[in-house]
Amino acid sequence: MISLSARPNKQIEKGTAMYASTPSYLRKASFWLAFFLLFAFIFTSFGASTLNVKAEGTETSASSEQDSKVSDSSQQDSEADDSTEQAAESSDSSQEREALRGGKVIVGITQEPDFLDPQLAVAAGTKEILFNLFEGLVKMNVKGEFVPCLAKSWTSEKDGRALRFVLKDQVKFHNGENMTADDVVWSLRRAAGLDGGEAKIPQLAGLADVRAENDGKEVVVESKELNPDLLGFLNTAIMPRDVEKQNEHPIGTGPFEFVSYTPQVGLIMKRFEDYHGEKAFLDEVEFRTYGNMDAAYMELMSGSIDLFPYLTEEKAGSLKDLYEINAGGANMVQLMAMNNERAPLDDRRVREAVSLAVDRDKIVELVMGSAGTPLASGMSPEMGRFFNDELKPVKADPAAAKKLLKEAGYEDGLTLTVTVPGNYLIHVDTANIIAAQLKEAGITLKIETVEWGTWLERVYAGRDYQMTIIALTYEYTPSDVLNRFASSADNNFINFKNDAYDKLVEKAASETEDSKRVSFFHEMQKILADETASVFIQDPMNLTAVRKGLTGYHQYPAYVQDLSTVGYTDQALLDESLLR
Amino acid sequence: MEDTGQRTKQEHHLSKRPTLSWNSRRGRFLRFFLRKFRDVAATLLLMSLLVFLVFYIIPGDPITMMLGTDARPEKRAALEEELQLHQPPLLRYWHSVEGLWNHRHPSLSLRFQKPVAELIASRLGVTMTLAILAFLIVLILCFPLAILASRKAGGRLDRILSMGTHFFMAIPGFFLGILLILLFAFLLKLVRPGYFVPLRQGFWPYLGSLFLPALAVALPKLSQAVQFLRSSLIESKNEDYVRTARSKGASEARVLFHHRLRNSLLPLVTTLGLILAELMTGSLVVEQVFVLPGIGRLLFTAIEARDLPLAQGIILTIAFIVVMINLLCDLISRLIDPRLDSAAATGGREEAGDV
Repeated sequence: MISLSARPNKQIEKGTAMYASTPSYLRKASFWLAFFLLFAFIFTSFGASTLNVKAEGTETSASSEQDSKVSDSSQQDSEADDSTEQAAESSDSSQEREALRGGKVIVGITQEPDFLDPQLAVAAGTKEILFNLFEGLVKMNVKGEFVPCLAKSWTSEKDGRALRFVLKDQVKFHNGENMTADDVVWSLRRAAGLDGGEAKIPQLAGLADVRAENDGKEVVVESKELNPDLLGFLNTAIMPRDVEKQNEHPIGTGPFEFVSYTPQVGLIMKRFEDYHGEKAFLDEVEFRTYGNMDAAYMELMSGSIDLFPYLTEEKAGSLKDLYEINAGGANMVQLMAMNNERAPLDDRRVREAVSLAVDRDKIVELVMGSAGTPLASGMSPEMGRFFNDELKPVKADPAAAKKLLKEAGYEDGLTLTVTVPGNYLIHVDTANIIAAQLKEAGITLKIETVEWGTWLERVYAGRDYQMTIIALTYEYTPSDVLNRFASSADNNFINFKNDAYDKLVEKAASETEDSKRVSFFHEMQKILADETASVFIQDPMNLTAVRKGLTGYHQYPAYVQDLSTVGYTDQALLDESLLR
Repeated sequence: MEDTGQRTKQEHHLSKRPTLSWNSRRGRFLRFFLRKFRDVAATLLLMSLLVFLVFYIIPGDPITMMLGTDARPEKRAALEEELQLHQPPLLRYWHSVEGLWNHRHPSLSLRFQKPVAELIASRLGVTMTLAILAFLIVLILCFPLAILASRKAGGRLDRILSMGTHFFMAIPGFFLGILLILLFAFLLKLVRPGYFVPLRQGFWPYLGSLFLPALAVALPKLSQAVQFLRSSLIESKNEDYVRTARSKGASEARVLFHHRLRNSLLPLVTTLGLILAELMTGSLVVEQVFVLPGIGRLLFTAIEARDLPLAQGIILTIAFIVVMINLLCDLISRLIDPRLDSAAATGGREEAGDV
């Protein structure tokens, strides 16, 4: 009984105690308030700091743009002044003679090399490193032209179906052996799958024969069918015959020789002293792997990286104290691909309406900080004469887009889905901006983010999507860029079908006269634009941070990081670089 | 009737002999180890099958991931030949497991073209150092904090500490990592984010560069340990043996360290064992945030590249380490408290507390 009566009493006591001790209740509340304030302070101050960086970024992007414009015009000037290539080259080398011999450069990379065997390597990030270790019969120069390298000269035979190369003498491999015609034949046969294996370089799969002639001074490369782009793919690496350990220790003829590779740490190469051409300036180059852009950015801030390609615009701004920011076209095509077989995108009017609703200039400005070129069709201006410069990018016109939609029977609006690979921030950002832009034209855009593997399997290979955003990269050949839109192409993931286009692809493949080929490629780009095969957005620029005090870095129109021309101009910096 | 009687007698006879030897101290340990060995083997087998199954199900294969948008049938065929992916799946599974210790035909990573064992060995050090460093932080800090908190249950210090521990327990390690980077690197500018010094450049700088990540892994687990120890210390406050000790005239410090703490130690060992295993796995995630070249980043890359042999090797290694830690804990608690050891055999003979 006592205990029963005691219980409610206690409760009352507790209750009164709670109300009586309101100060402690308040104290608790004030503690939490202080806590949240502290947190809010941390977050706002962080937010402010990023805002500052952004503000700086936009400021400097303007200046870096100016810089890039200046450098562009200076390049044009030098081209205009020196009408012959030789003169241009000599002026180049005289400029580089200022560079001192020696020193070490650390290049920051964020993509892990896939194969060190140059014929197996597929990742752009690997190819651009291997450019320093390996060479082919021809080699690409800064302008994207193929110039003699391991071959001194070549002539065309059998109506252009065969090429006869005269080999350069006295070329040494990194293992000290002389390069012979046998090595060349072995390497090319391996690449073309003529040695019994699969073709390692698919574009060379059409070779009929590769043989040495004239006492091993010449090599003849014969193709089954006429292939005007063949020369460009003969930059395929030449390796010493029967060396099967290329993946562990690559051996080539390039200006640098391989030292070591540690997964997720980096790759080290040193100057090849017996190089057949002009020797490199630097003693050593280290490609250091960073897990992500942010980690590399921190190292850039502290100055422990000398060279960093693929900077984002936002980060480039705050680095200008230590680095020159080098900008160049990436020869990429960022597009919002539309599945031409999926309703309602099988209707050209709907495709055009979507295209009209997209403001490309705004995307370039918001996503790339203006470091990009809006596109009209499926080719980047970096492709030189093959690029059709008469086509102008579509200007945004939501009213016209609405009218077209009404014609097509979608006056009540339309809902589309875009599938974006979530690992590429640039495409996710672009999708968000496009979603806002399409709303003005009465189109609702649903954004579906998928993992890269899913994207590759379902969207790219399976073609099971409505729209997607991706950037396409290419070998430096016009056919590689445009053949993918032929109706029979296995990588025509947008399901584009156009008879006139297919005929042009065929014609271009069997035409040897350059001016005619160029006109075919121009026409193809026009068809892509007229039919609105997809929404071609932009060629994003590559921004490269180059440490002040380094000279001779050039941006190629393809995936190349050429370090043979890079060197220090300042002896103190050079000495310091060796201590790291 | 007679027959069955004899059988039961025989059975009794048969069962008695082994129980006698099993019941000896050595026998019990042997049985313990056999049982544990069976568990370890089953865990690892199940784990490896699970990894294989997951890799079989998730979209994308290593070549697709490697080639990206450059995938052409010819190149695909060339790479399939090079990476020997035409073998039947079960054979590849077997090789990914067996190749881990086979020196003549080592299991090769598809992404890096190097033996998996070699890749793991070169990375394990960082992860282990991180986990051990975090464990030391937990070990060193959990006792003083728990004693402070339990000194006056419900007091101001206790309330602040319990709020702190709740806060840190609620935050996942990787997010705490981001917060720590924010605080120490961006606001206070004390360290450089993404900063790592390899071991060959000196032991202390190496440890120093791992301190912040270790803290990020340790804080949530430290909170767990503190809460655990605190509640068991508070519980023991009014136990009979404590009162007895006090009445004998033992000082409060002696009661705390000699009686109460000692008694709380046993359940703590089990908890600390679990914590060590969780620190191991927690380090994997935090490595990603701090960009440390440990086994976690390697695993991440392996999964991203659909590199079955490498992922299999790493996951089996981690599973093995975790299982071994658990085994060690069991062993230690058996050594500390013989009751556990004899309890299984005798059916539990309770002993009085430590007085």
